[in-house]
Amino acid sequence: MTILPSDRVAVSRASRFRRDRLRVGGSLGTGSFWRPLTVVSLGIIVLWCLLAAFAPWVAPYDPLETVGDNLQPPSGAHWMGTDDLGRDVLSRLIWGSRLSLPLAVAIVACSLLVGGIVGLAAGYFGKAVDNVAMRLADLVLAFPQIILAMAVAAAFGPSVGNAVLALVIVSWPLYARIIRSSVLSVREQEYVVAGRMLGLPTLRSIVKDVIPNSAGPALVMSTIELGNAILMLAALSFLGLGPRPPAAEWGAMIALGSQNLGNWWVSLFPGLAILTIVMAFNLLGDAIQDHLDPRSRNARTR
Amino acid sequence: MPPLLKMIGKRLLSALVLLWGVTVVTFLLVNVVPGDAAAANLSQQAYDDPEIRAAFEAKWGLDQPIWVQYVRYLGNILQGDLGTSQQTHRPVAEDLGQYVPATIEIALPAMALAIVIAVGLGMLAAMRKNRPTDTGIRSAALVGLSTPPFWLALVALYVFFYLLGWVPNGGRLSNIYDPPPAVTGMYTVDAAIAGQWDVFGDALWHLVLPVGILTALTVSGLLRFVRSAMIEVLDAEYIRSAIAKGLPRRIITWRHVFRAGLLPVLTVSGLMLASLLGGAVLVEQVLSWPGLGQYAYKSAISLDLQAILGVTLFIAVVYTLINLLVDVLYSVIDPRIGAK
Amino acid sequence: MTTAADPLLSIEGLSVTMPTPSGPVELVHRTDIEIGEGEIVGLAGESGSGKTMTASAIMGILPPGARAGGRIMFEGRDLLSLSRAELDTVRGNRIAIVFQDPSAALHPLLTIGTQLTEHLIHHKGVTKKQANARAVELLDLVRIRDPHHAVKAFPHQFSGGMRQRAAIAIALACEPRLLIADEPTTALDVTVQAGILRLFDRLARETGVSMLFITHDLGVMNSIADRTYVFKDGTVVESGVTTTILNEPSHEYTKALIASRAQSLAEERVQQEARP
Repeated sequence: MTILPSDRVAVSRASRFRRDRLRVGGSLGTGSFWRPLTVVSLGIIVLWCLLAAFAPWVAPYDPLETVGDNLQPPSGAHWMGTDDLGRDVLSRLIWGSRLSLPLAVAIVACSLLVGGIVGLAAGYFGKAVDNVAMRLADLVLAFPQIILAMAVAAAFGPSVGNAVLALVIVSWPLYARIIRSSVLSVREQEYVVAGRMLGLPTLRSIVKDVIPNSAGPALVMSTIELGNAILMLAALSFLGLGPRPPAAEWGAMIALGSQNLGNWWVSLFPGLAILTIVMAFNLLGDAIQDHLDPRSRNARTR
Repeated sequence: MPPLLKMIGKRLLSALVLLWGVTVVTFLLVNVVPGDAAAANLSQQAYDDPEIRAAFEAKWGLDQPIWVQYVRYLGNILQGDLGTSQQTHRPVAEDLGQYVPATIEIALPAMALAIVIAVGLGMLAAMRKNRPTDTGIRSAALVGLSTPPFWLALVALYVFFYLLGWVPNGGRLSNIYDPPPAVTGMYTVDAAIAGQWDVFGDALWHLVLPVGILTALTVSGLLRFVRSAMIEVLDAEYIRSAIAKGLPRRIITWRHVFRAGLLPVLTVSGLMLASLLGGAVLVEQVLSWPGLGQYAYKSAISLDLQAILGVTLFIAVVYTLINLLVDVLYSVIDPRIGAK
Repeated sequence: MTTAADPLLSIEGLSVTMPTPSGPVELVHRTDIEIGEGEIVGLAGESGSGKTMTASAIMGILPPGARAGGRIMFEGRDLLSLSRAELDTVRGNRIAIVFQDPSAALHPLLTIGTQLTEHLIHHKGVTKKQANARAVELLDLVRIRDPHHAVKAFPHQFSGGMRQRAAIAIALACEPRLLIADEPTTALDVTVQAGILRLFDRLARETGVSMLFITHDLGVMNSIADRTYVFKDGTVVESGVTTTILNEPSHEYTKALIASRAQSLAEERVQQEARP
């Protein structure tokens, strides 16, 4: 539920880009991009990536083994306590990043790919193809993301792959719309029109121009969607539709702790893990947005 | 106003097309996927018996070609028959009649509260742009947007039930009470109608936590929009005109800024309400609130085809109707649209 | 040309500075302007020369962050030293402004009637009914046809010229002593510009309101302003009776402005003759 509207924020904000603001490369090193919050959010993301990469060396215990008494509150031996099977919550938390981060990247990459192809086709062929593709996108967006994802994940059976598939199915239309509008604007550029009149193939020039043209909005959108994907994935596995137990997944860990409120540490820490990384992605997305489109931050003065 | 009617007619038509598409897609989705409804609903022993399995499939029409199943389904829903749930063995329409009011009872108050709070805070933030008040409000919204809804519900339950004991442990009523005679299906309303004020109070008490959580989540989703819409309005020349007219701040805020900023907020609120109605699933799950979200979840888990189709169709109808309503409201508030 | 009595408005040593990432920039620099009772005074200069900033400083609507120094004396008070509440008793009431683009300056969701009467009710304490009657009168004054119907209309139902007429009516609602017009014809079609200019001229004669007329167009200035100040880079480079300035410009910049005006006039004529 919070998930759907934030997508729309991204779409509406991303689609506000003008062509001349879209070239991303090169200029990140200067100007207002490196503000304290941006640095902090990048720091958090890098930290989580490092934790994920070096989990086997960083985590104090094996995430799947019973390494202590059941349901011990946080202590010197187990900083975040143990769960109902005596597994170390901190170790599971660290290992959990190995699931959430790569899966979120996979979800966003696949959605971008599918949405990109559909959007490109819709914008390039126009007419019937465009109509069908965009009505299909409307159709998917007519459902609350979580309900549709839940139905898809349940129908295909609970597993990591199906959860990813479900989330790709519900999020490709957002990218398709951005890429499509970008194609349409490139199509109308004078040199493309001129080329068409001269009988030059337009597909090449469109593909060549669409990529830099939509890179800005797509980048902002992808960054924010990375956080969103982590949230949705956690939601699915909280409902038992994600990775199968005993996998250390943050949403599933929270579900485990929800059975007895007294064992607050079982649920608290995975939730904080999600909160920090999602917030970092949101902040980073905002920073990129501000950097690419300064009008969104500074008051217009005359 | 003929242009307005024409606009509504056009919207209605495209809404119908969209809904038809929804029936096709949901139907295909549930039928083409590899899940086996017989396996999910029969015991292993019954499933292994070919006769029982054939009987099960015949009973639910699973042995027919897919397009026959679809045409039959479409004909039925046009008559208001959404089929029978394999799980509850009751008509899906009847199930919806039971679960939907529970969700409405938390979603509508949450939406109303959220709009009021988000508009208030959003205007405040816009007027104090880039000052501490604004930063504080934006940070709170960011945290709300980044929080897993089910985790927020758990934390709230832990604090307000487990630690403080201010609210009940989920559910719609305490065990000592029977539900009031059903009129609307919303316990608070029904209890008030029946004059059972103790039940009313208890039902209201059970509403506090779910409504509070949904409100917080919706506010954080809305705030951003309200703030940026209001900032855009505050920058507009017509607001400068109002200031140059020497109008008191109160009139500028409520007549000039508020009215113009409300338009974009209205659109988003429509979308949010639709997603609230279905998307409360996570919060309903944590608070054992027997609403639409839980029904959808249970049907999805047990591959209850008819129920899934019923829920998705219902949500799509609600979504489409709300969008239609928003469009109409929009043209009432914005005189420029009706005239086009 | 100023009368022996105190001028209606006198700007003394006005400076406006604006903070930028590379330090504060002075947009208006030590400017003195006087406007007498019933006088029409022009401010000429290219865009960015500080004309609009001067008008904004008088109305207290400078962009966020901008600071004004010096004095703006009006009816015995320094407008720059007034609190917001005190200033609100002056602007819209004793001094009113007409902006460049009426499409942007009118609120899109409020009727012309509401926009005509809200400050009237606030400043003059009249009833809604009295205000509505006055609104009809005002629309009639600015030559909007069928004023009874027009008060109920929304701005988008008007043409550009009518919108500007409505904006002028709004400015005149409280019978201000001073009317500031900031490029009031620039955003309009050439065909309606002359009508709006005649309206200003007539209103000045009929109501006796003083005017500060801002434009980059010296031809417009010639047809309306008694005296003219020529602005360049935030400061006045030349001032005096309009006809004198136009006929015998002493400053190079004024000469250049006149030359460019002559050229654009010639171009317009060529275009008009080219039309069938």
